Amino acid sequence: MLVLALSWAVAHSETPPLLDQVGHRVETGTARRIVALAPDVAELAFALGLGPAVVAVGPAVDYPEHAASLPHLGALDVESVLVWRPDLVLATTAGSDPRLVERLRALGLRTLTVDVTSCARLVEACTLVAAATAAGDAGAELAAGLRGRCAEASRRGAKLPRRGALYVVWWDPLIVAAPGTFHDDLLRHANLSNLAPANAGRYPRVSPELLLSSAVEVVVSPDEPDARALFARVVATAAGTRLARGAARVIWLPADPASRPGPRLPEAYVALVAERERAP
Amino acid sequence: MSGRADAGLVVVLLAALAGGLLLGGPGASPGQALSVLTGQGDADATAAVLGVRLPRLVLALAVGAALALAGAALQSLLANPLADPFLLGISGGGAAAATLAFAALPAAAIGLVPAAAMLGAAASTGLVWWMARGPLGPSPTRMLLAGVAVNAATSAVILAILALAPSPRLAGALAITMGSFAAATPEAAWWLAPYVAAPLLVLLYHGRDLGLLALGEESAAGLGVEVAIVRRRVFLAAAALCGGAVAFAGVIGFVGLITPHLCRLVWGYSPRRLFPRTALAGAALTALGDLAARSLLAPAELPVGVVTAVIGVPFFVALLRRSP
Amino acid sequence: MTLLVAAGLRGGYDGRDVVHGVDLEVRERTCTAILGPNGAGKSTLLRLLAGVLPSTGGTVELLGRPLASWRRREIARTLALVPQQVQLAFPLTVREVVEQGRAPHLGPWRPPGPHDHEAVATALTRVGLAGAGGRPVQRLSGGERQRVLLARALATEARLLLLDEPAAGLDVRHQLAFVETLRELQADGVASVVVLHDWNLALQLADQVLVLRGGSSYASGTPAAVLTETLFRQVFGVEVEIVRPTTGAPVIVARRQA
Repeated sequence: MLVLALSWAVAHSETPPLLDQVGHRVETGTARRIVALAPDVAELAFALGLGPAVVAVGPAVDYPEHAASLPHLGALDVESVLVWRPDLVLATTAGSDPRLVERLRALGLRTLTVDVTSCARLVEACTLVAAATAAGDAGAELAAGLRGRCAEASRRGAKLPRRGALYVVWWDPLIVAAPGTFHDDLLRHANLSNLAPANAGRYPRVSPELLLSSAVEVVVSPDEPDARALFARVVATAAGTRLARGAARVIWLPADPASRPGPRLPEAYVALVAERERAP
Repeated sequence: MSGRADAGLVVVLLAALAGGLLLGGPGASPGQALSVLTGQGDADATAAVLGVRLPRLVLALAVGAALALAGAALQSLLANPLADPFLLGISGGGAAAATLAFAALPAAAIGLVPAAAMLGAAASTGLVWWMARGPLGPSPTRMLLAGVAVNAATSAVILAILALAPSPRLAGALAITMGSFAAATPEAAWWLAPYVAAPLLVLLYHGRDLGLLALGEESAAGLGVEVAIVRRRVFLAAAALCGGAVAFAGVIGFVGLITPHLCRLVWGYSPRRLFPRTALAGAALTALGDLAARSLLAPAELPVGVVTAVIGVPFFVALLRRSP
Repeated sequence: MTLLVAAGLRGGYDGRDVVHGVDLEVRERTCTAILGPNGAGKSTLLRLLAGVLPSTGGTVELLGRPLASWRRREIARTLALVPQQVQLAFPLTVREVVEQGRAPHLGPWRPPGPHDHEAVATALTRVGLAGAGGRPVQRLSGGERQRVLLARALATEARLLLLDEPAAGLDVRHQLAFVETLRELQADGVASVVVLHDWNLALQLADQVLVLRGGSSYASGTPAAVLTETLFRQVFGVEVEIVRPTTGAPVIVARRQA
């Protein structure tokens, strides 16, 4: 049975309520009991110095170390969240169930959902969370840092030759990142043009034949053991011929920064640009 | 009239072959594909046409033939035009085992998924057979009921696996439940061949018996059919065909149900004439379905099972309205 | 010459015997009628004789050899069972059904040859369906379907026909035609065992009669000897009057319940 009796203390401030990145109103005020549902928003909270206020995190959260040692939710459902009596729940479009967020809001909880589909949106998310939790200075500082690194990546990327590319999320079946995702933004900052189809969802499955298209010159993928193993299988098949002989170059990015749209994301941008600079 | 129909079948089959090799991929344009077929293509186009499309086409043809033939055989065996190899739970075990293997195996061992699928198909086949047994052997009604029950159970298992699968594996696990030929390799085609060739011979051998069984088991026995033996062999042959199909291509529905019906409308019910043509028609239709799956949102792919369902349902409705 | 001999034949369904030890001898060129009240086991006996239902006791010998030693296709060439009805899952034509009768002669691979087509045509003519080969069986009346099944049995060119209530759905004209056909077949050397409800038909057709009650043989012998008022009282529970016209077989009229 749901525990409906909650008390939450929200300091009524005078500034007008904010809108989060999916359009929900967010009341501003200090947060003392934060539940972060996903790795990217957990990292963001910690980067903003809100670590001490985080009481519990989602099952997949593993960074930073302190976050990893916090209690993890048993499941991503209403009861597991309510048990912690949070005064702010952080969610993300990169993996949180929007219905869960709806139900929490219906029960009167304060939620903030980020929707990071680009560097710019990341910076926005940063200032947003900071504003919502009255952590303005930390926010400004972090935002500036993120903005700077992204700008640096962009600057260096602009000097590189433009090439056709794919961001491979999963090798077998072949799943790529479509325009509109942060992976797409990652490619564009490094002056790579994303060849994934735009009309089949955010992470469409594509024919392995696409790897044989001469338009594909660079393939970017997160460096994880599963990915490497499946990549090895693909390279051994006919579809991987161009990859095998190096006609299309594979760039492996540090896995976590490249896979989650959190404050470490710019590391992936910089890493991609640096790799390209080594061999344009 | 039958001659014209046969010619029509050959045309459709050729269209499927040509389309499968020339169209639908980003790896080679139709012109490039044509040059590959005439021996003048460059390395990448050759890899695309002969290394990616050809095994895929062969797999689609084999799986389509297997499913259509299994459906035709089961419909005759059970004297029930609604028998579909997937409704009989034969492939439920295969799909469940494949989904489980895909979700749980380490990436390097992913090649074991087809083997797991075959074991699962064998298990669910055995379960259906065992549940359906009665004093006179498994009767058609009991087989249908047992099949429906096993199918429901394995569907539940599959949903549970999908719910618990780690999210990176989810897309691939879903692909199994919706059917795909993307994993086609020349080796897969070789592995599948015995699962199609041997049952095909068995079903052709018992074609006449199956025709007699369409009027009921007692009627057939009176005309010389060894009902228990034929029942066992045909069921096993159908199970092998389905198990092989699911192992390499996942769950592709409607082909086994619709193709025999369409062919019966054209060529009549006699299995001796129907079976070879149903197999070819199933092959052609599945290959065309795969072409559609690859081409509609190219270079993105739709799952083949979705395409066959979308095409199959209106056909099915039309058939229902025609039947007496 | 004896075609079929059953001794102490027992059998039934789901582990329970319906037929409890029946003896029967069928000679060539004879017609045997099996009579009895509902549930007496007549159809079951027929199936046991044909070998489509396995027996639980007793023996059946066909042409001197035990039925169990025959291969099923061999049996089907010698003995044809005409059931009361069949499943019609698919739309078949009359010709397609009758052609099935040639299956025991053809095996798995051989396509039908001229003799097979001839046998089918003869069978269709014999039952009065000569031009109806292309009609869908599902659109036929019950009586017409029975004639199709009879034609199928005739197409097997078997020497012994086992017929389960073949006249049940026939109108008067076709009943008479059926009697004629069976007499013609008898003259051609075909023996028959016919399950009947209509005892008057039995009187017209049969050389010997077997009366079943409760799964056992109550009486057997010539119709005149077996079909007495006493038998009708004891087996069927009716008082009858036997009328003997100047020509033809006697007619038994049921008067009232006994």
